Amino acid sequence: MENTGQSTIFKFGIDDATRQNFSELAQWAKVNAILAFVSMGMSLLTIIVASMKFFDSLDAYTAGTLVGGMIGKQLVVWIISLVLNIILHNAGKNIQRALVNNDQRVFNIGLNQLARYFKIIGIIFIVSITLVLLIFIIAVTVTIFNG
Amino acid sequence: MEDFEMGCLDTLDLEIDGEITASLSQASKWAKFISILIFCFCGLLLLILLIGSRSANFLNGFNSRLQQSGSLVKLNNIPLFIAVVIVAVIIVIVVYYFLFNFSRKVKLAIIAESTDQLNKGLGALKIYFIIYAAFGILGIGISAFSLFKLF
Repeated sequence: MENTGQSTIFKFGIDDATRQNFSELAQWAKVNAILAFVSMGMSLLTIIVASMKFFDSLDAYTAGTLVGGMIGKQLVVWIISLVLNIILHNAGKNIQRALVNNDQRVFNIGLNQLARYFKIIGIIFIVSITLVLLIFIIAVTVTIFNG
Repeated sequence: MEDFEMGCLDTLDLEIDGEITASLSQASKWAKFISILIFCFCGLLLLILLIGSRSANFLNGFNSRLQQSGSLVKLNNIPLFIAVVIVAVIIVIVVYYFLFNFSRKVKLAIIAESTDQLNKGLGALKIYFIIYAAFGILGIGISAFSLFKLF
């Protein structure tokens, strides 16, 4: 069997170029996840600092309600982002570990996590579009019935 | 031939097996879905913008919405606004083109059993992650600057 560029991927092990690509991909996936964690921390800090700065004149109850409201609105976004980026970070970590130790089982887990990362984003897109369409339909219906 | 295969497997134990093919196929499918959705959204945004900018009420409506949301910014220059949105849309399309390319190449790699296409697909996904990281760093920088200004 000649080793052409079209070598079958089911019969051969991963070659050096593929190994290198997987390694770099895993590295950048981890960088992205870490940046997302930092970004989440920054936005939490910004909300707290901005609240302390602008709500000095308000009483504790009102300030607490406003800050709670702002954090509450962000909470859903943070939870989704946290789950997604933990999966991405684990995918990168497992792929890198598998490449170092030549561990097929960990490699499978890593790529499975990468696939799950894209699947969750896709599902979030579907849910968002459905919600937007639902809001649009309700708004049109209300407008029609109110004359 | 056997010597070559055994040599490969001795030094590099990892293989693209059935489970990995399934994972790559699933990742490719969802990546294509996400990128096509983003392309559609960008097209729709451009269409709304181009149709809306022809309307005389567009600027007034947009400004009143900005004021309602408590923004101190007032939009005076429609062509500049459209140019900024178009540039942003082009950047988004370029970023998601790499994700689309990953999907296409990996699908081709699975069908044709080609490591060459697989490498191209992985390279495209890597570039997508690199661009995303660059924008992430930019976003964190802007957040840090706003936080610094608050103090």
